[in-house]
Amino acid sequence: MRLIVVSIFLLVSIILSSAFIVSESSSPEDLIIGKWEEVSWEYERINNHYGTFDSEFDEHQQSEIRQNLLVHEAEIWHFEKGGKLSLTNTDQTKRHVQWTAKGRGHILELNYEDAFLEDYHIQDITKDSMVIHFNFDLQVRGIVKLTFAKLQEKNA
Amino acid sequence: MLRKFSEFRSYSDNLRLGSITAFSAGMVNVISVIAFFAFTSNVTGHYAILAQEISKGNWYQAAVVLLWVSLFLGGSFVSNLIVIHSSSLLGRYLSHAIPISMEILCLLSVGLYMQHYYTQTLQETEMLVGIMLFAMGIQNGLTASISNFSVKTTHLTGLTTDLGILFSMFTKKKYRNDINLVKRAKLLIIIASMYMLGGVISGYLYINIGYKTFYIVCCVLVGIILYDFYHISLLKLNLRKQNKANSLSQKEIYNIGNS
Repeated sequence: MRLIVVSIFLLVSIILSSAFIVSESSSPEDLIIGKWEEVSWEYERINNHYGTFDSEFDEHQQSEIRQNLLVHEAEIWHFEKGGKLSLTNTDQTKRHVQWTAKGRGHILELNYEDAFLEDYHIQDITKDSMVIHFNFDLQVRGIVKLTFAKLQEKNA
Repeated sequence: MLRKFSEFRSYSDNLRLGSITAFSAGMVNVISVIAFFAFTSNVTGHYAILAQEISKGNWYQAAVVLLWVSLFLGGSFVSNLIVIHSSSLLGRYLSHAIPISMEILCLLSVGLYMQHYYTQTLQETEMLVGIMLFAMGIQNGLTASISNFSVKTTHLTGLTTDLGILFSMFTKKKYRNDINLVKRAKLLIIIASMYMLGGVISGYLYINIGYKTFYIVCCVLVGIILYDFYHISLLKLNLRKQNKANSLSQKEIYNIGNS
């Protein structure tokens, strides 16, 4: 009988303490709110080009990849509460899409007006920086890494 | 499917239970991957992710995954607790049907929530994934418990390992001629195939009818409960007829005796 009580107690304590941490900590959904500036595009795994290691994309590679994506040339990503995302391009034109966080907060899903969905894997997110990968498959990490820096409110 | 326990179960009992529950587990897992980007019928990957999130210091994500794993564990715990404690009070069929009913309630609540309230926030997603993991824990706990651990339907890691072992054994003639090993291999292949089939069908359905796929999974599970209910009712009816016939013949004997 004591064993049953102890096992139930242990199970309930694990569930309650995890639930407490979840409710008290900042979720990726909270951390993502604000304005983010695109800092770099990189290969996830460094490639060897002519004996030198170069992980950054050049302009041509970026535009080639972006042909298949709807987020074109967006420099500033402004995530708002309620799932609204404003993408500001270099020429200051704006585009609005819906965003949602899925899974355990590791998937960023962008929903366009024409019902097109785009998924990114949130690799790392802190108050100041965010790294996302293009999400092609759940078991395989994305091939392209985008790094963002959070803009301070006064600069934004 | 549900009325027999452990060694009293026949091969066909396990085959029916294994194939239908594997079908529903495959359906649930694929829906959760499409809708929530999280697996809900297996926890091996979640253990690996938990370790990864802890090592990276992502305490929020680690707590979420720990909660999910605990809910799967809780589901299995509750399921077996009901089976072993209530069978003497409620009978085998009811004590086995209660966990399936709980699973139906969980999946139905997920479907209803998605239909009426879901606003796609992260907390909602985590909660719904948790409920689905709890439901799958219930199912896996029940099938493993009542089949004496010979049927596990929500994940295929152990099953694939067993199949690999069996296939290697079949390279020897004496094992190929062992009817029990052949039956075991057939059972495992059917469970894996039904899991896949459930996944494919639910993937197709979810793209076309969305959250309503949950109601179809619930119907499949209701089918399991009704299948045995029908058989029990039939058995009771036959028994009643037999008793009536017996009492009539006893009456005849009595009348003959008196005359």
